[in-house]
Amino acid sequence: MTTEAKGHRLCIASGKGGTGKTLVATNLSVASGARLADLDVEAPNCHLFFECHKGSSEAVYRQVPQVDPASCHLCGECAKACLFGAIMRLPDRLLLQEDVCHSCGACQVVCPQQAISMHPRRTGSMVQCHSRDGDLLYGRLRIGEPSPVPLIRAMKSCLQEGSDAVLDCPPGTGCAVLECMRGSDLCLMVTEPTVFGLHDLRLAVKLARKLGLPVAVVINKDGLPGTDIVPECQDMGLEVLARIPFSRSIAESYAQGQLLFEKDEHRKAFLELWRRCQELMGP
Amino acid sequence: MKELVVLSGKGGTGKTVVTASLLEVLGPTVAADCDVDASNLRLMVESTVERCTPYLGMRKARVEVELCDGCGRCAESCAFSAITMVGSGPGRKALCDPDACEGCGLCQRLCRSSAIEMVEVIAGEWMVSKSAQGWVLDAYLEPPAQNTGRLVSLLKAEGRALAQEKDLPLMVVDGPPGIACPAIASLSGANLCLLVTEPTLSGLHDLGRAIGLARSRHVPCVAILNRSDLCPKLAGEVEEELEAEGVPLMARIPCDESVSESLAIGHPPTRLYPDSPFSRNLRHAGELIRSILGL
Repeated sequence: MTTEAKGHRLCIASGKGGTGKTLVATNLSVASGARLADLDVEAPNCHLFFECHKGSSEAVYRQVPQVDPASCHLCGECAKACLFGAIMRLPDRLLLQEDVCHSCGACQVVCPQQAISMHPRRTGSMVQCHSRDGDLLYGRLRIGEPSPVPLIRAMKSCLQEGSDAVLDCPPGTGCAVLECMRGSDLCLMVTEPTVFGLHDLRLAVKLARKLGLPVAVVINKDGLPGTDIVPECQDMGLEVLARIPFSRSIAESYAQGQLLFEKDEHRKAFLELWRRCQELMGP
Repeated sequence: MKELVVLSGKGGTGKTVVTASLLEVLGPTVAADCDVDASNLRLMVESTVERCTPYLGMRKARVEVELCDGCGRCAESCAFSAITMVGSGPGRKALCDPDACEGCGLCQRLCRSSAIEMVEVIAGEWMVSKSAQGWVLDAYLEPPAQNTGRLVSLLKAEGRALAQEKDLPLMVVDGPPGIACPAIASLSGANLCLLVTEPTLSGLHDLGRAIGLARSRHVPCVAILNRSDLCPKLAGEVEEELEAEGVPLMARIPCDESVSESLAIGHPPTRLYPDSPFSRNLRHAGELIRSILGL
């Protein structure tokens, strides 16, 4: 009897931007051998740390309405049905604003003349690539697209159930982060010892816990003069799995797109971090 | 009234510290913190809340279980996978996840049992606060923050009205990271976009996307290179990119410990350490920005 190995999904979030999510995600993926998925599709950066030598790029689409002017009676039911204000009824035609459209399809359903059809609009693209350090899936939201969620969903559907994956999430606490966190086995928050970092960490933890996700934390820029956040993390019931020091040389390596894992002094730390994450994610 | 919006593409480049410091330099202003799902501006700008208003997000679908006949049309057509069917047989019912629901109302239209109601939800609150430099508008959103562009537009509209009422010449918008809906809404109607960037590969990459977004909205850009001495090679590449894109550089601000100290105390570096490298360069950038805006 064979047992199927369960792949674990580890999402890396923070609340605040710039705390070091990508630093942790890229190095953890190399330490673990897990596939890395860069779900920060508005500002994807993981690919800058890998020399990708084989890749495939695929456009991702979402559905937006198109009106057949010959069938349209300008009744305006579609404009009333659109709660996002993407359709306006002008005296002589309908004005459709694709970049405000949420692709719900309500307009098509309500049209009494069936004059509306849905057609694809490119929302972004996703790239699958391989490097000597592992497999990377990253996405790029088309500039002008209002929501990263359809692209994130498409990317998540490319992840294989039986394999481990590390997901680099965007900053914030919005629906994009929610979508990234959904279905994960552990949410690892990367925070920094600043009032901004702590403030946003609380919100991000609230979001993860709403989904019922176990949460742990990595403190980056540890030693930065300012705020001692360890007691606060303890108050929130967050286990601190690692503390990455505030260091000019780490910042310089990151700046130039170098993986810390390549240096012995950091390799052990990321291997240990992965081990602790695995403990929390269970079998 | 003129409007300056501060963006970056990449998170953590220093938008909020730069905005809080610019407020000290640019004279009486209305400030709007449009990073609405992680608002930090008032952690660095001392202010007193004068008005707090509940913010109603999009309505959410709620299923009246007794009326639901379990047909499943709502679940099949929900574009956001917010509705699932639970149970079986006569007990099969629709269940809506309010965090996934985007409030489009399609399910209500399709329901033949009138079992779905679109209910008002208080998504958070927005505040108007008085500070030494003028006024600050910001918001708190209960996670997950949804349809944030809508709230950004509200804050800016209220900010403009307040600036008009108090006869203030400038509104400064502390923008969100990224380039999606809230960033797009932050740019709407702005006279100038200040891009705060850093000499890193990530910063350079995302700067390009932010420039692309501002251009698509026809908002002219200027830039500040923060932590400029972190990596001279990349600083050079960033400056080349800015020059190629026709984005004037307002200041190079070197790494400065006084910034993190100021953050811990909760005041802008321009107030606590007025002669620090950060403050001197920031004030210079502020003067240039004032003259570009015609103030």
